[in-house]
Amino acid sequence: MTGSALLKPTDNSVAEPADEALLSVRNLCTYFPVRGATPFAPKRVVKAVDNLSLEVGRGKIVSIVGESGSGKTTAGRSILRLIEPTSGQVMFDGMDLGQLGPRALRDARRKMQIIFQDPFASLNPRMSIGGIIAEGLKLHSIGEGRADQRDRVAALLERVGLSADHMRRYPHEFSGGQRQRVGIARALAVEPDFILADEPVSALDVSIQAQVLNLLQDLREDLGLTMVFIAHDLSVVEYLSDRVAVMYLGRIMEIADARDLYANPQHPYTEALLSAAPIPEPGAARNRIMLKGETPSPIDPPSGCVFRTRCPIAGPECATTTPDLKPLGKGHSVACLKRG
Amino acid sequence: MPVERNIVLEVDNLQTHFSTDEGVVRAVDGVSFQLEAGKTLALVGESGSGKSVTSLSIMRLLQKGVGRVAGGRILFEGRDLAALTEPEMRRVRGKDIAMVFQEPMTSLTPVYTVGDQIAEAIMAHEPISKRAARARAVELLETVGIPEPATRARAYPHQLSGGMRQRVMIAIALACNPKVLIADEPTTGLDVTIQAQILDLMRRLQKETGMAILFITHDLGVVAEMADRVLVMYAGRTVEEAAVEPLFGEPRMPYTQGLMASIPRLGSAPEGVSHPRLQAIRGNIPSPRNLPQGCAFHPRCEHASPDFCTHNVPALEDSGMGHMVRCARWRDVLQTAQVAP
Ligand SMILES: Nc1ncnc2c1ncn2[C@@H]1O[C@H](COP(=O)(O)OP(=O)(O)OP(=O)(O)O)[C@@H](O)[C@H]1O
Ligand SMILES: Nc1ncnc2c1ncn2[C@@H]1O[C@H](COP(=O)(O)OP(=O)(O)OP(=O)(O)O)[C@@H](O)[C@H]1O
Ligand SMILES: [Mg+2]
Ligand SMILES: [Mg+2]
Repeated sequence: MTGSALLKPTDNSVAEPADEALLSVRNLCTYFPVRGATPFAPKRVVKAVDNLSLEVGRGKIVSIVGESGSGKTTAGRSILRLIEPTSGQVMFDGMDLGQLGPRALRDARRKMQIIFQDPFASLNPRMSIGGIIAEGLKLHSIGEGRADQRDRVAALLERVGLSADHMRRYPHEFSGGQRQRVGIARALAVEPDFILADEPVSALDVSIQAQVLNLLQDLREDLGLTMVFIAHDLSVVEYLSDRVAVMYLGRIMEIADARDLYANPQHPYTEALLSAAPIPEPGAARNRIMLKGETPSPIDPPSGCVFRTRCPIAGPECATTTPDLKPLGKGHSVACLKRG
Repeated sequence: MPVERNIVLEVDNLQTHFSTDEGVVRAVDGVSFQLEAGKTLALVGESGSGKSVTSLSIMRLLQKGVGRVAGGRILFEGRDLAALTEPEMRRVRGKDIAMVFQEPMTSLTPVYTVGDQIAEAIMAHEPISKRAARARAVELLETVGIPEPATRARAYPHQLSGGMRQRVMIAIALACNPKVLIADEPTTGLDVTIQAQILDLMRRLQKETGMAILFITHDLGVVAEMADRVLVMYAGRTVEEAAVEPLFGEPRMPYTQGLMASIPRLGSAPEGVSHPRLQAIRGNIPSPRNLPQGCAFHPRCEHASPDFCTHNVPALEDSGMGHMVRCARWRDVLQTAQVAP
């Protein structure tokens, strides 16, 4: 299998998705209606996700990186159909999720689990750790009887680096990193094929972040898990990612194999993100590309290229033409009129 | 020739305790440092290590009846802050020592415009008319890089983005030209491109005003960019303190070494390794309610010796040239590091 097939931008042609892709997202759009300033003002929409396409090969990790409000969470949730997308198609393991009835969708969802950002908010404080992890087992009738379910919970706890006797304890007795491990064990309980990890380490301390990232790497290797990993910071996902998509205001600006994206970024926004990351070396040469201003309101995004108001190389054409993702070869695509 | 050092703030053996249901928590246990005019000292450490409590102790803003400074001294330009009356201390806060917090939304009042809030901060410390204070507020908004400052002065906090609100907080902090700025995680939670702007702004303002900055953060990348000197905290204690270059170039406390090794650095993924791993520190951050005996780091330390480190708290030692380290085995650790490729 070639790496370049993992997450190639799709066009609107009728080509079949590459057969090794577990997840294939095509032209996904999720728009939210927003109230106008007055009751009579025209209805407007936030294009939280606008024409997103990507493919995730089995056993691969594709990261979606972008700053706050760029649409990462909405994209992830729309893929799992926890949010109903406005248009577009999501194929998972050969099934078109949009065509499934409620029951079939629930069965499909068992194979698709989420790990959340906030390990504090995402665990029910009144349930024991064992109860939290066993919930999915019960829901999907996995395991033969209580004893078997308990054994499974014990094994899951060990698997994520906790111990079986943590089962009877409650979330408040755990640190942030430990709670995130519980969240991972809960996701693994139903033996998913796919995990959506929405900023799973953003709330954790540095020394704990590394542990959790390594755990996810182990799980992918040992269990063959496929993941979409959401982050707002490119440095966090470098070790983990096979492919990286950079989002800005709902759109993918650039997508490439990880090594290629870090070594050879093409989009000015990717360059700016890379150069804005603080380097933990005093006196390191910082050829920082300082972006002007802030991300514009998603309700009233700039015409043409949504990045142009902050772009150091924007020209007049960028105000009138919306760039599509252009393939540059080797699975590297960029949405920029000035590049590629 | 001795170098003239202009120490504006000195913290000497600070001890801050909280009374809780589970007994006394020693949130800060013997922290000392000196802050020089025009320089930045970074206080770095993971959650619960006592960074914010240190700054609240300096400002005398600990929750009454719960937290108290149980020992040590805090001197601002040689004056013991503990000896001031509350009205005197109020004059110090804002005028001499100003503070910027992580979440500007909670420190701004939602019902007043940001212009009014800046003007208020100026009038609290200077005999100046409301009109003049308002004009200064607009100037300050311009200084901190807010576009259309006159229009923005009339905005309410919720109408601004997180980055803009942080700029407003910095404008309020700068309103009376403080000698010391305490910035407690001022860019945590902001986007990296906005963080870069705010850090740039703080550096520029320090150059212009000569203020000293106590910069609290858990981000070593930010430390490397901002600090002249760095103090690393772990479980309420200083475990290492040095000028920024030696601290990054030759960290000596195993915790600092582990922290440096565990940060994902851009472009550091090893070539040809299919699923690379980061170097993590094992174990968890201890709860200050339940600290390990001896060196608080020993359960996570690969250099810990069973006979010493598990029972004794090592002293903070000068390992040479003012590079302070709290580790009984720092000499051996240093040797191991030098032998390793
Ligand atoms: N239910 C909703 N109704 C209206 N707008 C929404 C809704 N959910 C999200 N949005 C908007 O969609 C955009 C994308 O939001 P989203 O949460 O997906 O971003 P994100 O990239 O995950 O950001 P963060 O890094 O802050 O988590 C934002 O402008 C947000 O305000
Ligand atoms: N009001 C309080 N009552 C009891 N304990 C407290 C109180 N405030 C702080 N502490 C304790 O003091 C310790 C140090 O807290 P502090 O807020 O200084 O940590 P920090 O280093 O700033 O961490 P973070 O990076 O999470 O902000 C913590 O363990 C905390 O539980
Ligand atoms: Mg999100
Ligand atoms: Mg704090």
